[in-house]
Amino acid sequence: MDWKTSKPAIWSLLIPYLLLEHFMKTLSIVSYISMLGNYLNMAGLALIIYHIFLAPHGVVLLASTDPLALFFVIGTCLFNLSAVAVILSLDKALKNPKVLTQPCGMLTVGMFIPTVFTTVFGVLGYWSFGMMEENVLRSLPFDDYSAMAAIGLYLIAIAFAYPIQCYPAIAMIVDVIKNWNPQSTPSDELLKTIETTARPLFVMTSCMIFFPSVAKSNYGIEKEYRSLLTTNFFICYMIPIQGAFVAFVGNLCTTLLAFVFPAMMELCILQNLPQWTWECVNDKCVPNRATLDGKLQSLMTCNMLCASMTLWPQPTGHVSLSTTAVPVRADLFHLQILTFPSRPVREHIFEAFDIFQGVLRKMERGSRNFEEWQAVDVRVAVNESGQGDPRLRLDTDESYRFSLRPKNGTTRSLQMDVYANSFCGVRHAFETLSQIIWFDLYAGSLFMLEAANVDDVPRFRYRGLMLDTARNYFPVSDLLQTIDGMASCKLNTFHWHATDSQSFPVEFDSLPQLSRYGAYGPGAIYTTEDIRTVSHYARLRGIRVLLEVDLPAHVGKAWDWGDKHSAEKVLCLDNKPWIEYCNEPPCGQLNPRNVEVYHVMLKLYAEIMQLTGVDDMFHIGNDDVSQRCWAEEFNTTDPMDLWVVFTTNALQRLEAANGKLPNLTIMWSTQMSERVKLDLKPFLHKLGLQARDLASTQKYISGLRTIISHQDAWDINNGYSKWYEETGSSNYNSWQRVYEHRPWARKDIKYVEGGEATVWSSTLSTDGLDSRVWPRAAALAERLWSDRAEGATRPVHARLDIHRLRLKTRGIQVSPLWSNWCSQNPYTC
Amino acid sequence: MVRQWIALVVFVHLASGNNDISVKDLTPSVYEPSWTYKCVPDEGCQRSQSPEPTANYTGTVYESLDLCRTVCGRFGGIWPRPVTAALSSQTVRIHPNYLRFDLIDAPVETREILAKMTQVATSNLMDECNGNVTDIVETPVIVFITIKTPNLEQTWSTDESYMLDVQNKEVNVAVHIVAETVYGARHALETFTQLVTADKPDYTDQYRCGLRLISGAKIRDKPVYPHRGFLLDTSRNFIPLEDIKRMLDGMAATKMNVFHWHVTDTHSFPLESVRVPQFTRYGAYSAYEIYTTEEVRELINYARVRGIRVVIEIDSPAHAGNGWQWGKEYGFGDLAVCTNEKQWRSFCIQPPCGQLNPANPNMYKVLRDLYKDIAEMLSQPALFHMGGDEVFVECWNSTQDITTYMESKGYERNTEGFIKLWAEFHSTALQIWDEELTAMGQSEQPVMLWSSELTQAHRISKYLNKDRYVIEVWEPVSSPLLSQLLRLGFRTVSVPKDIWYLDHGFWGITKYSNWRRMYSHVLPVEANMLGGEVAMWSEYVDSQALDTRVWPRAAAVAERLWSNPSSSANIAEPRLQRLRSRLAARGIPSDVLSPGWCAQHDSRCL
Repeated sequence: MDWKTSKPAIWSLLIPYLLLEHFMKTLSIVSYISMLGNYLNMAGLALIIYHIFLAPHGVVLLASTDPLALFFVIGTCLFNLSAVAVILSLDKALKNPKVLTQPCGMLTVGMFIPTVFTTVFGVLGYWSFGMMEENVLRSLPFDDYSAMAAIGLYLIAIAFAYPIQCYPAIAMIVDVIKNWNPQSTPSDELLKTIETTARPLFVMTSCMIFFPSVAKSNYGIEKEYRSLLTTNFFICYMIPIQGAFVAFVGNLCTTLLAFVFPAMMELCILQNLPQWTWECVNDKCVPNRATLDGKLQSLMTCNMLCASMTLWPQPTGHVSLSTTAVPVRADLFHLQILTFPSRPVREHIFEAFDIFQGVLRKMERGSRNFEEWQAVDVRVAVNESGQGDPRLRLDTDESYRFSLRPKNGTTRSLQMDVYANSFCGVRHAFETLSQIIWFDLYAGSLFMLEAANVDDVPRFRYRGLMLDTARNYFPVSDLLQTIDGMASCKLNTFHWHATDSQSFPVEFDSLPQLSRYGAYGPGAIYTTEDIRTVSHYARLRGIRVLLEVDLPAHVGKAWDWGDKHSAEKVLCLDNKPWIEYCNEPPCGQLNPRNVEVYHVMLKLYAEIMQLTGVDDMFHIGNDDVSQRCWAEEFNTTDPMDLWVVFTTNALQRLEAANGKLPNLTIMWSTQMSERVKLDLKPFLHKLGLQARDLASTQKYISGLRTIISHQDAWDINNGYSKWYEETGSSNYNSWQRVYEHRPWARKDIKYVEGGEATVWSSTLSTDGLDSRVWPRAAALAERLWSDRAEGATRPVHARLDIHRLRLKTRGIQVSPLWSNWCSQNPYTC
Repeated sequence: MVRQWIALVVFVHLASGNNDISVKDLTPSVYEPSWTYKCVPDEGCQRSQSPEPTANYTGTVYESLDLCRTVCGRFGGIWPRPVTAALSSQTVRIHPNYLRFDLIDAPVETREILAKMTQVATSNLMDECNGNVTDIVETPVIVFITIKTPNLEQTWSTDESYMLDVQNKEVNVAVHIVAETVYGARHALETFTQLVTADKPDYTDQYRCGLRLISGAKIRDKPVYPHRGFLLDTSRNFIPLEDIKRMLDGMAATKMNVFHWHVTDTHSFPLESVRVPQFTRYGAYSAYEIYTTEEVRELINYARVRGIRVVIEIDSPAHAGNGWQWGKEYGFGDLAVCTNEKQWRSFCIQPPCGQLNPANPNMYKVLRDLYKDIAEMLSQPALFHMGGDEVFVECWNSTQDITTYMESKGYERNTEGFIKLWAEFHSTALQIWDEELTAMGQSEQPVMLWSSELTQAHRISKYLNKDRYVIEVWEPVSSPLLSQLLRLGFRTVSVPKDIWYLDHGFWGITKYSNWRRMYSHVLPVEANMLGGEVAMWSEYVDSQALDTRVWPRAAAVAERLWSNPSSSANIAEPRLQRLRSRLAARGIPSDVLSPGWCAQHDSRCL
C-alpha cells in the first residue's frame, strides 16, 4: 500500500478534511480541532520513535560526514519561521497580544520546544533513515502495521493541525473582498459562495503540494505575509534540494508548533482572564467573578443591553431599543440618500456620514477578532421641501426619526431609515445611531443594538457652550475637540468669546492691527483660515459658531493703535486702581464719541459674519460697561445715555454690515439692560439678552428673548475662586446642579431661546480644559434638549456614566463622576 | 525689512480712510508681535508697552518671560524658595553636551544613585527646550559634587541641606555643590536646573532654543519640615503607573520627599501580593488595573532617585472591603465584614462598605502575608502607613462573630468597647509588622496612623504608644487635635482637610482651596511637627483629570513645607508662574494661575 498512489486513501483523508475546513469558522472550533490533531500527532510520533529505536531499518550513516547537514539546520530554522507566520495571524485573537513578545512569551516558548524537539528528532531520523528516498515516513516498513498506523496517524494529525493555518488566511481573503469597495459590497450570498469555494480550493491547492511531499503543507498561508516572502521562496527553493529530511523536520516543526499553540493560547487567555463579568439582574448590571467556562459579558455590553435607556441626551419622542446586539464594523455602514432638498444638503450628509464612520473607527481601534460583522444600510430621506441650506439657522427644524431593523430575508445585514427635515436633523440621527454602537473589550469588536426606533426633537433651539479664548489662549485643536464633545451631546451653538481686554487673539484681514497689538504673541493668534476651519468643522456637526468680540467694555491694547487723532479709540486703558474702572484688570473701554470706532466695528462685523457664515444670529457682547470710566472721561452725569448711543450705533453698523439686523442679536444682560425696552425699541424684536443671574432675568428682561446662562448653575468656572483672592464665595457647579437647573419652570420667565454654559478662562488653560468642561456640559445638553422633569437620579447617573465613556473614546479627557467601583456596580452609589 | 514694509501697508491702509465694508483679501499679514519683558524692581517682569520692535527701552529687555523671571527678584525662578540666595542678573549660554558632573568627592556608595540623579537633572535641562537645544555653545559647565556621608537611608532625620555656588570663570562655569547626604545633593541639582532657562520667545512655534544659566549664584538651603508629602489615592479610581511617575517628577521639581500611596481602600485592591494573589484577583477593577510587585519596586526606585520616599498605606481596619471578600470561599471565614453592603448608609460613610473582621484569627494570618510582601518591597528603613481612620462601629456591631468575640474578651458593647477592639487590632497589626521587619533583620520602625476617634486627645495615650506611632491629622484647621497631640508628645503630620485636600470643592458642601489659600496655611514649627501632606483623593479624578487638579496647588504646599516663608502668596506668584512653565516643559500639565495678561504683567492684577 502506498499513500501516494492509493486514491481511496487520499479521498478518505481529503473529504473529512474538506468538511472540517468548511465548518472551521470560529477560533474556538479551530482550537479544539487542533488540539485533537495534536493528540493524534503525539501518538504517531511515539510510533515513529519506536521504529527509529527499536526496529531500525536502512543504512546507518553519520550525519557529520555530509556537508549538507548544515542546510538541514537552516531548513529547520526557516520552517520554524514559517510557523511564526501562523502565530502572527492569530495574535489578533489574543486578549493581550503582548504575551507573544515577552521574554518568556509564546513566541520564545512556542519556538523553543519544537526547535529542540525536532532538531534532536531529525538528527535521529537522519541517522537511522538518511539514505532512503524522499521521506522518513516513506522509509518506514510498509509491512508493519504499527508503522502504517504511524504514517496514517501522522497524516491525519497534520490534516487536523493544518486548519489553524488556513483559518485566518481565508477569513482575511473574505474580508478583503467584502471591503474592496465599501460603496457596493458584494451580496451576502456571493460572499458565502466565495467562502465555501475558497476553503476547499485553498485546501486542494495546498494538498497538491501537501501530498507529494508532506512537508509543503504550510505553503499556502505564507503568501499572506510579504515580510516572509523571501523566507518562503528560500523554503521552496530548498525543499527539492534537501528532499525528505529537511521536509520532514520542517513539517514536524509546524505540526509541533500547532501542538504547543492551542495550549499556549489557553494559557495566555487564562492569564489575562477578565476578572469580572456582568449580568443583568432586575435591569441592573451586577458584577460576578469571571470563570473560564462561564459566560463573559463586559460592563459596557451589559449596560447597553440591560438598561432600557442609554442615550444622551434622552430623546423627547418615542424610543424603543432592542435588547440584542450584533457585531458591526465601521466599514460596513453604507449610506444611501433617497431624497434631499438641495445639493449642498446632500454633500453635507455625505460628510457627516464620514464623520460618523470616523467616530466608529476610533472606537474599534482595539478591534481584534474576526466576527460575523453585519452590514448596515443607512437610507436617508430628507423632506424635499425641507431646509435647503445645510447651515443651522434659527428656524431650522432639528427633529429626526429613524428606525433600525434586520433587513428582510437576510441575517447578515441591517437596515436603517432616517427621516428629517434638515441636514442638522440627519446629523443628529447619525449621532444617536453612534450611541447605540459600542466597543466590547472582551469580544474585541464593535456591537450595535439590533433594532431601534427613535423619534426626537429638541426642546430648545439654542443650546450653547461658551469658551473664552482671550484670558488664556487655546490652540485650534482644543476648539475642535470641544466642538466634537458638543456634537456628541447635540449642543448646537459654539459661542466663541474670542476677545477681551486681556488679549485679542483673532486675526481679521481687514483689521490686522487688532491682533497685532492685542495678541499674547505670534503663536497665540487664530488666523482667518483657522476661523474658517472651525466654522466648517462645526457646521458639519450641526453647530453654529457665534464669534463674539465683546464691545464696548472688555477691550484693551488691541485698540490702541493708529495716529494720534484717530487714536483715543479706547479710554481708561490700564487705569489704576483697576477695581474702580472695570471688574477685571486690565481696564479699557471704547470711546463712544469717536466715529473711527464705528468704522472699525463695521468692518469687524462684516468680516465676522463672512468668516463664520452665520448671519441670522450675532453676539455683540456689551458686557460690564463701567459707568465711572465714561463719566469721568466725558464729565457727564448719565453715562447710560452714552451706552444707548453706543449700542444704537453698534446695531446700526451690524445692520449695515449684513443688510439687515440678524434675527437674533444677542448681548449680555447687565444693569444697563433696563434701558433696552425704552431706548432700543426699533430693534427690540430682534434682540436677545444673555442673562447671568436669576434676579436680572426677572427684573430687566421679562418679556424679552432670553438666553440663560446663570452663573450659579451653568458657569463652568465657578467655584475655582478668583485668581487674585485667597477664598472665593461662589460654589462649584457640579453636574447634578447643572442638570437640575430649570429656571423656566418659573412663571415670570418667558421667551426662553435656550441656555448656555459659560467657560471663562481666568484660571483655565489648554491643560485643564477638557476635564473642567466635561461631563458638565453634557449635563446641560440634556437639560436643553430633553428638559426632563426628573432630577439627577440614579438612572441619570448611570446614563451619564455611559456617556462619559463615549466622550472618552472620542479622545476627550473627561472627569469621572465617581469612583470606578460605582461605575462597575451600577445603581449602588 | 519685512516688518517695515508691512507697517507701511498698514499705514497706507489707514490713511486712505477706507470705509467700504467689503472685506479685502489682503495677503496674510506676516507679522510678529514682539513683546519684550523688563525686570522692574518691586514689580517683577513687565511686558513692553508696545509690540513694536522700535519701542524705546532702557536697560535689559528679555524676549522670554521665563528668562526675565529667572533673573528677576531675589530668588529668581527657584521653587521652593531657598533659605538664602544671591543671584547674578547676568546669564551665560550653556549646552547640555558640555555639562560635566564631577563625583570624585562623593563617597563610592553614593555614586551609583548620584549618577542617576545627574541624568535626571540633565534630562530636565533638555526638557526646557523640549529635548532639543539648538543653540550650540561650547562653554564647559562643570558641576563638582561633594557629599559628606555615605548614608543612603531616607528617614525623617536625613539631612537634606545643601550649598550651591555657581561661578562663571573665563573659560568655564564651575558649579560647586556641597551636601551632607546624597539627597541634599539631589535637591541642589534640582535648584541648579532651576537656575537655567530656555531662551525662546513665548507663544511662538519657533524651533530655535538655547539654554541660559545664571552666571553667578550662592545658595544655602535646607528644609523646615522633614516630611513634605503628597498623598495619592489609587483605589477609588485606578491611576496608571506612568501617571504616578509624572506625579513623582512634579514632586521632585518642588522638593517634596514623601509619596504617601493610599493604594487600597474598600473600592479596590490594585496592589499585587505575591503571597496572597486573591487580593488583586478579587479586588482589582480589571486585570489591567494592577500594580505588580515588579512595578512597585521600580516605582520605589524611581522615587528614590528623585529624593522621594514611598510610604505605602494599607488602610485598615476600616476602608478595607473589595480584595478581602474571598475568605469564605477559601475556608478562612469572613476576613472582612459589611463588604459591599447595599444599604450602605448604616454601615459606612461612603459606598462600598467594608471593614476587617478582628474576630477572625485567619484575617491576621492573611494580613501577615500581606505585610511580609510589603516589607520586602519597601526600601529600608521601611515606613508603613496602617490607615486606621473612620471605623464605623455600626458595621462591627451588626456582625455576630464580632459581638460574640467581644463578649468573650469582656469588652462592653458600647463606644469604649469598640474602641478597645479597634485598639487591639492596631496593636496586633503593629506586632505582626514588627515581627516581619525583625525577621528581615530590620529594627523596629515607627508606623503612621490617621487621626480618628481612637486618637482623640483624651484617649490616645491609653491605647497608642507615642514612640511607635506617628499620627497624621486630617481634622479641619479649626480642630484643636493637632496641638493637643503635639502637647502629648506625639509626632504628627498635618493634612488639614479643608485646606490641603485637593478634592475639596467638587462635592457636597466642600470648598475649593486655590493655591493662595493652600500657601497661606502655616503649621506650627516644633520638633514633633514632622510636616504635612497635600492629599489627592481619587473619587473625582482618574488619569484624565489628575494633573491639573494637583498642579500647581501641590507646589504651594511644597514651598510652605520646605521654606515656610513669612511672605505672602503675592510675593511668591512670579516664581510659581515660572514653576508652572517649568512643569509644562517637563511634561506635567498644570492649571493656570491667572489670565495670560496677568502672567505678563507681574503684580498688576492684584
